[in-house]
Amino acid sequence: MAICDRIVVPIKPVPDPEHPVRVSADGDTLLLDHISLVPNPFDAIALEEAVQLRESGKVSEVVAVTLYGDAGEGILRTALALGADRAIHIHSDDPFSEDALTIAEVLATVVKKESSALVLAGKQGVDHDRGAVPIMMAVHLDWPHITLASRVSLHADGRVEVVRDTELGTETLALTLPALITAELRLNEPRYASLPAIMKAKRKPLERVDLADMLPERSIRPPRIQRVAVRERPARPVGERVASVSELADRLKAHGLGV
Amino acid sequence: MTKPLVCARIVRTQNGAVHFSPTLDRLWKAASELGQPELLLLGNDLKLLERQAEGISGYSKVLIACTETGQALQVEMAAAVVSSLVKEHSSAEWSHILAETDSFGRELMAHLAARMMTALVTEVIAIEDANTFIRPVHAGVIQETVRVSQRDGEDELPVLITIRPTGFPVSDDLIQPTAPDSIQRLDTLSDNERVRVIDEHASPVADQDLTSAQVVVGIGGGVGDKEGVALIEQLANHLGGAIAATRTAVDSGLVSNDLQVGQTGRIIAPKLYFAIGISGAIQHLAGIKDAGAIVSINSDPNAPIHAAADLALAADLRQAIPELIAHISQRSETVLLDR
Ligand SMILES: Cc1cc2nc3c(=O)[nH]c(=O)nc-3n(C[C@H](O)[C@H](O)[C@H](O)COP(=O)(O)OP(=O)(O)OC[C@H]3O[C@@H](n4cnc5c(N)ncnc54)[C@H](O)[C@@H]3O)c2cc1C
Repeated sequence: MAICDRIVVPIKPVPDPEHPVRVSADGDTLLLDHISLVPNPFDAIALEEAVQLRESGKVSEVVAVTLYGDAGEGILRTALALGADRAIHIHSDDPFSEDALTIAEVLATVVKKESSALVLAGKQGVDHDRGAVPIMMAVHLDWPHITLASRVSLHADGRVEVVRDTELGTETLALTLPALITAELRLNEPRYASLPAIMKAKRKPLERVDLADMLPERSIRPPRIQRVAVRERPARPVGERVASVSELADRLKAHGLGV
Repeated sequence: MTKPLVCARIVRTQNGAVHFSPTLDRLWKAASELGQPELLLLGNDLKLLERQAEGISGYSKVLIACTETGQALQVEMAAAVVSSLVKEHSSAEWSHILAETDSFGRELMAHLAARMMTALVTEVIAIEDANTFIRPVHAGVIQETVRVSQRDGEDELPVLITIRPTGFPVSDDLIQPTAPDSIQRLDTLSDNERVRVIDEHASPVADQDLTSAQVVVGIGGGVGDKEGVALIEQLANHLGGAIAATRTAVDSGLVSNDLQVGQTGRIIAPKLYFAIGISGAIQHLAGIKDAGAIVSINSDPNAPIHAAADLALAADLRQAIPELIAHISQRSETVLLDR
């Protein structure tokens, strides 16, 4: 008997972090088209944890969700190849990049519709580093949440124990489902998609929903956040090579950094 | 005149150590660019909070909110008190609510944003005006300027901001040593019944002031083992510096997790950073880009860290570090002899 029917894992498509993002010559926009999208690495870790829970029989189903334009579908196929059972693509051409509140509301609506009792999410997106969406989801769902999990144990009575790493050290926390948990880098090492898994993923169900049919009604509209400018961070000046420790010490001294 | 509220935590960890945000003065600096800052101190030890409040400079008003004695301070408790304060004090009172971009501040502000349905801008490194902020994205390679605009015909809601302290350096004489006009104790924070603390292991170095250290020595995977770490600690001692680490060093169990510097760890900006046995992955560089000078010691002449460094030495750290320590101690002896 599974402890939990369904885990929802939100997956954010992000530009492959190995490729540096540049600004267009006119300085107005980010050049992202040439960089392939990948599932946000922390979301991949959350997904791996969810898949392991399903493999252990504690959970029946893992559902991956993405809110994105057409490219969201490819990301979800990857999620299916990595072990998700089913995927939901909420389609929108508006990238919403600055509106975490709306993204969180939409994702929370999906969680409710799926009557899921556990959300595993990445602790932050590696593109914008906000780390806000999962927490906002938990508030919308009115669920308890624990961030920065480095270990998750799901017990038969629906209790979840989570080891959490922060600046202050390590703590073990416990809560009872329903709950939302965010994944730290050291939670697990995600698997690679095998060829058979990629083939199988093509036949797994992937549902497409239009955002317009999905957007929750709301009474209060949050203030708008707009990106008004982008620039590349000024590069550091080119450094010098030194051949020995004594040369290093001399150069440090010359720089007024006598150690 | 806009009025910002800074939220900061001061907690006593289980081993008795006090975790005091070393960046209160930097948060003040950021907030004072927006108006006359007020402060909400959150914690789990009332006496400690009261003592700290009395010694604080630059804030006209200090509010104190504390848990039941010995209870751990959790984000949900803090979010509840801040949002009820905002409601009580007509929404126009505070124009901005600020916190540090650490695990607590990040989570608190995200929580509040969803509760109050208001705008959140994270990791702010510069403030252009009351509604315009600069923040790094894409591992610090890009800086974006964002503008917050209230919707017509709706009440002004406070804008929530998390501050990256390295963007707001302060000099010692900046803050006038004036005690706050008022210190007000709020009701005891109500317990979070939904999340229980089972066990806590405070980090032995939680007190190390990594964010404001002038010299930091970074430990990478190349440091290899405990012996290597001891060597680096020796170097850091000679330099009077703090210790940081890469993800690889943390993962291999060489050092504790809270020392991790980078995109998903701490962001630091010391005058001098030594990268020892560190390859120079962009996720690590994201945390040290604002260092005054970067020195790399790595045996691989092609390691990317050398390209990011101001002074690059391709050498085996097992030889180079003892030599460097010898150089430093030699110098300090000469200084002694000169006297
Ligand atoms: C989503 C995500 C987030 C991440 N966030 C962070 C982060 O916040 N911070 C972070 O640091 N990393 C982060 N990483 C990991 C990062 O990508 C790198 O893997 C990591 O920084 C590498 O650490 P390293 O340079 O110490 O180790 P390695 O890459 O293993 O490099 C070790 C270096 O030591 C050198 N070396 C070996 N022996 C010696 C010797 N005897 N003398 C001198 N040099 C020697 C080698 O030449 C090599 O260059 C993240 C990764 C991901 C996917």
